[in-house]
Amino acid sequence: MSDTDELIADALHDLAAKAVPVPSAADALWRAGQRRRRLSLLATSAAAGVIVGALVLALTVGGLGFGHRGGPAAPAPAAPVWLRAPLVFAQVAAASSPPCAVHAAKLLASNPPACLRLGSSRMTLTAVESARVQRFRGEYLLDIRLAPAASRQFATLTRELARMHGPHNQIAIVIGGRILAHPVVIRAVTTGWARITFPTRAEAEFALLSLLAG
Amino acid sequence: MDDDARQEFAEFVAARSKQLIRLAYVLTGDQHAAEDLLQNALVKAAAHWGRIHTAPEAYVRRIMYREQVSWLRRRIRRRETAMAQVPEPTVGDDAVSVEARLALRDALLALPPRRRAVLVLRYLEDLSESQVAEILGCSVGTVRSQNHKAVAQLRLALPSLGLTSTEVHQ
Repeated sequence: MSDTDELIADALHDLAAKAVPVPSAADALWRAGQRRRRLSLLATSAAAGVIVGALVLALTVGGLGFGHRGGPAAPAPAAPVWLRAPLVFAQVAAASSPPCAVHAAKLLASNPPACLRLGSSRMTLTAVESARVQRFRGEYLLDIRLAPAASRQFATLTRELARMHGPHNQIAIVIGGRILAHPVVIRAVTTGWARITFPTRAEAEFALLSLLAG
Repeated sequence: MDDDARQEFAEFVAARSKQLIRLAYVLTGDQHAAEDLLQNALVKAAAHWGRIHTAPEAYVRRIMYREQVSWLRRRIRRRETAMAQVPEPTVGDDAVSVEARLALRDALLALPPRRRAVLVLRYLEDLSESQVAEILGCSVGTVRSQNHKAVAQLRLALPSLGLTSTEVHQ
């Protein structure tokens, strides 16, 4: 090995030594991996469905002669992001440890697992303005931009919850029937952004895909 | 069955995380980016555990290398350069070896991802050119040229450190 090779190898070893060991989060990574696998299977099926659907549509429209005639284009409507599954923000009426009662939803992702019964104060959305994942102070945030009407509704709901005591001051965030998180509301959220924090990027991106992929 | 697999995965993560984060750090030069890279690779490994559980480490390492040199990741990193760490200033130490190491480390961090990955595989992992080519999914010729360019780029950092050209020949 030449001097240069040795220098480079040493420098690489020095660099490697600067890495800070990360705490093991094998369970969370495993769950994220299994979700990824299921989503991948789902996406493959969906892609096949879209192709078949597009072919059928093309054949139908072509066959019936309903093609585009070249008229003036309609003005582009404001484009909400339609959700794959309804997004529900609901007050937590009761929280307990498993086993869960019949009407309680099991929150598998929490540590320790919790059973939640949801209250009547809730709002359901089928569309949002935007949703994105970003990193902030070592955590991963799923930021959801609500439409103006939903923003006002969300502000009212969070204002109501912020005045309450635990567990009634918690807001359960439910996507497609699965509870993603149930943070405590400490003040009314009037910014129009709903924010969910996740420990890993994979979990945040999975939540985003659960929300949007269809 | 699923519990066994999960347990195997947990044991693998516990046993190999320390080594893998070091590799991720060398590839990215940044702790947060290294954690992201490793986390992403482990999630992919978990997703395919049934297929790769006999040799998970090779799979995880391959994912990290390939992700690091992928086009998409390079684009993301470019957007994030405004948040990159400020390089540490070189110390006013007279010892050439210390200064050389610092300069070399800075030069390593400045290398494009593919060139750095080639150097890591060649000099840190001590793999042959054909093995490197297989891991990165490119030709041996590409590995050779990337290695040559990387070493040439590193040489630029060395003259100021008092090393003669004979000391830096390949």
